[in-house]
Amino acid sequence: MVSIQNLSFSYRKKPVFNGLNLSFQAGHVYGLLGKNGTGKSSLLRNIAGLLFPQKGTISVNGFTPGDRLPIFLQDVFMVPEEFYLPDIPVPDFIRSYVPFYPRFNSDKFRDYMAVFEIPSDSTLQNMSYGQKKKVLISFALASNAKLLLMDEPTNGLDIMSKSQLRKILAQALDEERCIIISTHQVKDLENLIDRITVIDDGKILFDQNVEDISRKLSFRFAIDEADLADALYSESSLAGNVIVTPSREEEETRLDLELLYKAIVTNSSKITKLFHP
Amino acid sequence: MNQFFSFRRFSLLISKHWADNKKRYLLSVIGFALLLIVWFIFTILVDPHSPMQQEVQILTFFFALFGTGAFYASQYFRDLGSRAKGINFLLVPASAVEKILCSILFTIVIFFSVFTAVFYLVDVLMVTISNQFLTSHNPIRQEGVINVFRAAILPFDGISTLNVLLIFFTVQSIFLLGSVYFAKYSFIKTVICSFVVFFLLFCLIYVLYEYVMPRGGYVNGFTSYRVSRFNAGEDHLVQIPGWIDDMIYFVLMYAITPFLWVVSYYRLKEKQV
Repeated sequence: MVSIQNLSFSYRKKPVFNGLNLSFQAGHVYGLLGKNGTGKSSLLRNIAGLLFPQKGTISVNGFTPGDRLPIFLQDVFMVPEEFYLPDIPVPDFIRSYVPFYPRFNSDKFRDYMAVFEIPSDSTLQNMSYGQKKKVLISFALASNAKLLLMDEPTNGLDIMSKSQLRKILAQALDEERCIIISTHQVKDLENLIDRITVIDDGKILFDQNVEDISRKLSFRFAIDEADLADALYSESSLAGNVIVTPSREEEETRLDLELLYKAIVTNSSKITKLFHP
Repeated sequence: MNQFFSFRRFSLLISKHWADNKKRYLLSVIGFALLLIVWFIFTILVDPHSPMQQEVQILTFFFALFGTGAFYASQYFRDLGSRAKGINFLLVPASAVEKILCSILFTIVIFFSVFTAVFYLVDVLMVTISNQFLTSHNPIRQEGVINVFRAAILPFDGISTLNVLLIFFTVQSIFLLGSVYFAKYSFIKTVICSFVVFFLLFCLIYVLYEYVMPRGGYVNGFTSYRVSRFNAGEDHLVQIPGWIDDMIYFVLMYAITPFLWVVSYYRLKEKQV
């Protein structure tokens, strides 16, 4: 669905990507992780056609995003971190924006709004940032766009809304749709993401399926000193030392995205070796 | 569906723009009408013996038209100066042609129509009131409502008001281009850039006239030039074909505006957020 070949992009004199290659397939939820300023949002905006690559190509559903053709824009919806919605009643917003998205499902929009507990006849002007974000997310999902780009979607959402978002996103995923989520709040979307891509310094540091990660890595408390010595990453807590370690045979532990991310950032060479022996 | 222009998408874009901005536009129209009333009352108070003179009406019309029009056009693409609003604007599934045409429709066609309608509404009201109340006590000639499309503009007697309107469309298009070009302070930046461009053009023409053209002067417009030959004692008249004059007039009056629209289109296409 999304193919990025040899992408180079920079802001004036600050290089962001240099020769980046990456692809995203339909039917998956991708988690784009990385430190601040590593280019996660820039990558999403390049994919959406809001920024243009200096070198290399991006193809989304066979289209070049930078052309911003209406047929391309109908199938790509972006929920940016900083977003704008006009100060009009929700029904007016729906009336004027929906006709641009031919596959928009009004029933689903109402369902999502109901899950988020937002009255469908309210005015956007009177809503908080979090409520507006929920309207935008509901609209994005109901648009049935094949590619959904979400930049920090859980920012500004309360605890209940975060779990509602997980529920809605899980419902919205189908074989034809690809969802790419850029986030710092890895815990918020832990059980939803099925492929993790970590960007660091404009490069792909790690790009693996959750299934493979669960098979090859173990997230648990250290039993003894030897365990701690073998760990790829360790962190002390009140209950003991939590470690990320290569899995033993047929061992299955629950994936901890935050620990995984820390392990990748602090010990990327060993992790890479483990996945690419 | 055509990816360059579709009438359906264009009409949807117009509806969307109206839905997003109707509150702001309606308030602006009311505000403008009130300002106009205050202005006309002020002119009546300043000169109560000849209220609502036609010169006042026509100058008010054109000053307000150019002033408010240029400001409105310079604000049309202000969303592109904000990341959040810019993303919203650029990701609306419509082509750049449709977005530019929508801006032209609002800043030129609709703005001019609404402006003229509001102006006449206030103008007729104020002329009627001033004729009814003020002149009933004083032996003063009653003024009529001015027809802006036929009026002679005193300082520019040679220019018809229809030509002034064509100049207005060009000015609107300059500010519309400035609005796409400059993310912030587009009105001021466009004013400054326009002055710089006109100053450079003026300098270029001055240099050409002073140092490149032979001694002499233009006769009856720009197509005839009399070359003075003081030593030979005989002047020469150099004439270029009339169609060149027609072409220059056509370009100045009709071609600059569409050219500015085309530049705005390409600028919008390459806009990044």
